[in-house]
Amino acid sequence: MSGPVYLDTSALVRRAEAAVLQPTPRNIHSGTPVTTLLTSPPVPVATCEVGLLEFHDVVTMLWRDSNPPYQQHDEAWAESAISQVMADIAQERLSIRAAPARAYEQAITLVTMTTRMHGRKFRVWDAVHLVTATAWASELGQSVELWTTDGDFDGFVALYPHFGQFVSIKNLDN
Amino acid sequence: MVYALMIDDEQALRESVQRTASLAGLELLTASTWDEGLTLFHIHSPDLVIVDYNLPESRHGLQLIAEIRKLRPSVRLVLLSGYIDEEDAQEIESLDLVDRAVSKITSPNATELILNEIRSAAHRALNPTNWVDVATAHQRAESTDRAALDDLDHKIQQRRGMS
Repeated sequence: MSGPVYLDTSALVRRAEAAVLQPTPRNIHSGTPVTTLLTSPPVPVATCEVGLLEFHDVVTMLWRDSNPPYQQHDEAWAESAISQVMADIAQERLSIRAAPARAYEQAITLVTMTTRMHGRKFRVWDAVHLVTATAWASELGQSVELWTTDGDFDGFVALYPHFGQFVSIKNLDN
Repeated sequence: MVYALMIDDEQALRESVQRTASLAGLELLTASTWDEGLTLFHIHSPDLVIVDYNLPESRHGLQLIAEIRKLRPSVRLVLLSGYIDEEDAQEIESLDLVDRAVSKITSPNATELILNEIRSAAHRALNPTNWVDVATAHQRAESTDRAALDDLDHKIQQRRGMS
């Protein structure tokens, strides 16, 4: 990593999933880099308000799910995961960026055109993450690395490579 | 924050409008080709797009503008062109595709007019999204008469010897 890092929801969730008693190899593989990054960030690290909302949504969903392999995601785990993110924010290791003006309209544009032009999926909250990371890069005048475990970002940037001038995608599962 | 984009192949005009906008404390993104303009539109999604009728290395005219309208119906579209006269401008406006059509030939105050559009866009950008306006624009875009658009495109191009 050479510049600022933007974490989407999946990256934050993967770190939390790596913290259960018996994490899967995939969660260790993808979550450990996020743990290392946020322990002592060498570069600015951010997500957006939607990322924080989604994080709570996913963590509580996993907490409610008592079926294998989610039994380890109990209340203690959920509270610890949320506390960890809040500590990151409070101690300014992770900043929360507001979605730029018109981000939601832009997200509607991006998801609709991806389906209309290419028949491909690009979820609306992923679009909000991409729009926010792009605006951050534009503001900083340098490229931002977007960490995710969601393959849809790579697919989108392959279709619209001009976003790659602002955001490079790092898929933590690879 | 990007709120206005101008797509025009006339470098002198782009630079002049950008300079005037900058002096007025306004920001304007510019592109010289349709592809470059569309790329900037994808990335920044400005509230205002000022677009020429006849852009190099692209299809002509209203079909291109319709593409932007389809991508984001609520965008304010201003057509600024030396290829259209006052009569064309009125016909184009009557199709409800653009919010304003301005002839570079017959509008002596075109730069001032564009500056006012950019100023308004800067002001709008400070406000939260008005979803009633967005939905209304969406309905308006859906009702655009594509056949009438094709006819007018053809007519304008014939008048200018472009087709």
